[in-house]
Amino acid sequence: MIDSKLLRGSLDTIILKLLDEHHEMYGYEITQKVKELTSGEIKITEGALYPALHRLEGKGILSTDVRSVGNRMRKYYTLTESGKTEVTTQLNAMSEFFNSLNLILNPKIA
Amino acid sequence: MENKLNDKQVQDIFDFTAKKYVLYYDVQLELVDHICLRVEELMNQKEELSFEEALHKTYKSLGVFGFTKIQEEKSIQMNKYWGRKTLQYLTMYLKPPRLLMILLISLLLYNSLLVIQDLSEWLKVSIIVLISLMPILMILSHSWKWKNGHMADNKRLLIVESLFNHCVSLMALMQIGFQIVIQLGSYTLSPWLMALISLLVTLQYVLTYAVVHVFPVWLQDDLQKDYAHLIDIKDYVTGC
Repeated sequence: MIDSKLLRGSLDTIILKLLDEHHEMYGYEITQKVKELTSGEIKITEGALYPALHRLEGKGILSTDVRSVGNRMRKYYTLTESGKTEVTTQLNAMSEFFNSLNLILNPKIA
Repeated sequence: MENKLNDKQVQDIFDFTAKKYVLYYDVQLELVDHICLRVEELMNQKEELSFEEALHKTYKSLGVFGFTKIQEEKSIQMNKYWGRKTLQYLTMYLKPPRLLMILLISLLLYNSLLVIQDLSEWLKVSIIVLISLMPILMILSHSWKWKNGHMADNKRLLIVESLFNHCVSLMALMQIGFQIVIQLGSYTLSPWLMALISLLVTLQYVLTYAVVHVFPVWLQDDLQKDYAHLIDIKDYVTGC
């Protein structure tokens, strides 16, 4: 399983990318989707996920909608217009970071 | 057959989050749904697992500071939200012709301060304190009404309480600014100080107008969007 310290810096990007692809998602669904896509290698804890979601909501990157589902309420997250721009920025930044990291970790290939 | 939690079990999870110091319904709501889904998943994976066991297992996986951290981040987000709304109000409001009106009111106030210059020290101070305290009292009384709003079952909402805290902070900031200006002149008012006081007091009243007439409408819109099932909406603004 991937170290949570490594995950910390990329959590926002993961959330934004998933919301970009799935339009709207709720917290539990995000944790399950990440687990499924990475075959259980990445597990996002609730203690990391919700503060990140609230932080992104606070920045105006995400908007929310609370809807009734059966006998309880569920909060759905979607990207705002500025959030859609943010996805591209974050993905480009992450890609540049991986390329640079690769230059350090695999100098021979580079 | 898939396990689905019944109403009582959902309520038990609400009570459980409250016991773990998640005090606000708008924070609980999201956590409760998350815990319910996890508990259901565990009970479906292992049929002999009881609800209580599944809940205990779920809570253990959250970590000791799980709930506290979530509520803290939500509070920070709400403070930023109302800060942005105040800025939005000011940029919306401080435009011509309103800006001109504000300058005219400041000028009127400036002239009134010129008149009171000749009064005795204590009378002068009393008048200044009174005009600076009036908006504070209005802000306090209105935001207090929101705080003790019209929630069903006395539910507490962070969005409402953070607006109350925001209004109190605004009030404190304005008062600190006002006191600094007053103390600078030790109650002997130079024309510059009088102009500054006039502007500050006018701004205080502009923000008071927002607290009394604008923020309740915005709060109502937000509440109606997400928590309409909890609130007697029709009374919310008129009740302020």
